[in-house]
Amino acid sequence: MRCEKARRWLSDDLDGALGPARKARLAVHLSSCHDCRAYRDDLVRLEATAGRRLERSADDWAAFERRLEARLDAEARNGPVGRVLEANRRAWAWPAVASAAAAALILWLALGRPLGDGGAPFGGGPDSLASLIAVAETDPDIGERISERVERSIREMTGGWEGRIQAAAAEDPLFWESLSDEELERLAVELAKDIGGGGAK
Amino acid sequence: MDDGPEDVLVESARRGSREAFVALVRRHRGRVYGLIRRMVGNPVDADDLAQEVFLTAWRSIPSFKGEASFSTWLYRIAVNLTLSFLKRKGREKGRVELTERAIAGDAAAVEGDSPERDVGLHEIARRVDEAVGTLPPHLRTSFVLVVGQGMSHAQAAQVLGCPENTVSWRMHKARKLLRARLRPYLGEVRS
Repeated sequence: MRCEKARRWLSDDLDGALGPARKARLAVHLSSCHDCRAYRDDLVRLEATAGRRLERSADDWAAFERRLEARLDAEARNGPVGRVLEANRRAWAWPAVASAAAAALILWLALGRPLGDGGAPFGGGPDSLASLIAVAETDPDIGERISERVERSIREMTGGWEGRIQAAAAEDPLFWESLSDEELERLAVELAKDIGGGGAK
Repeated sequence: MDDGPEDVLVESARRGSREAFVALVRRHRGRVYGLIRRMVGNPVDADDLAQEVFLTAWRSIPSFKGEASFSTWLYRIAVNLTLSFLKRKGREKGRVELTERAIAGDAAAVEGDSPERDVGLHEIARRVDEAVGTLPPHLRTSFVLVVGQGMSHAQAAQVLGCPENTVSWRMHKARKLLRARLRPYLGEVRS
């Protein structure tokens, strides 16, 4: 028997995967091959170390469990599907609120402005908010800028909502694989509503 | 609840029992951590990844069908997450190119300190762990499952989703490479 073959069988034998017939043939080879005996002895020594138990203290395990429990609690509050839906809803919510607020403000001021006085309900000169909003009614660019300003103010008040959107799916390689068919379907329906149809395929 | 039969715990966890799931975590955390620790080579990453394994298992357990054992399923998650982690990090800890010259025993191709230096058991263990960390991921995974975790070729094959003969070949290849890497120090290892 060639040594390369013997060493392959030796590897199987160390793992308890060598059949009796081959075991016997291997034993015959080892009895006459010093190099293969040395190879076997080296592997036995190596695996005595490689296969040793990796101990952790009770404190380490307690800390591990506390940390896992905290993450399970967070999971219970949000859930994996809930986290994705919430992240998507946040992505659309604030611009929608900001635009609606800006539109409502413009409409209220426009309707509230006395007819014919050439001025604004809040009075003041050409630099006043009311004057600006009046201009916005006729100039879409200015209207858009006002919306952006309102949106930015809301963002400042809420402390930067973008930072809180969790990209759980992107960070977790097994996230999508871990969802059940029902969860995937629910996600697809909700996302389609959020983005106005034509979402998930 | 910790002492209950595993299939009962798994079924309870599938139905949403966190207590049952935590009992399963306590049963398997040592082996999962050990597997990952041997794969990534440091305790901090191993701890983080072990957390991810159990979180992923908690999310996925409602769809666990019991076709494989719970431990096999858990190991599969651990292996996949760890390999993804290693790929993402773009590193294999302390990896060196093991050339054919090193396998043939050419001392010039083997890196490391002089073997004449007296080394303790901890140092040997460190070198062994380091050498395991230099194995290519597919060889390292098989080696860690079989030698580190005490699995049979058949069990490791089930975790890895490959034929048993593939595990056998990988074990042979891994041992050959490790022996070449560690040969100068193996005389110091106490059995």
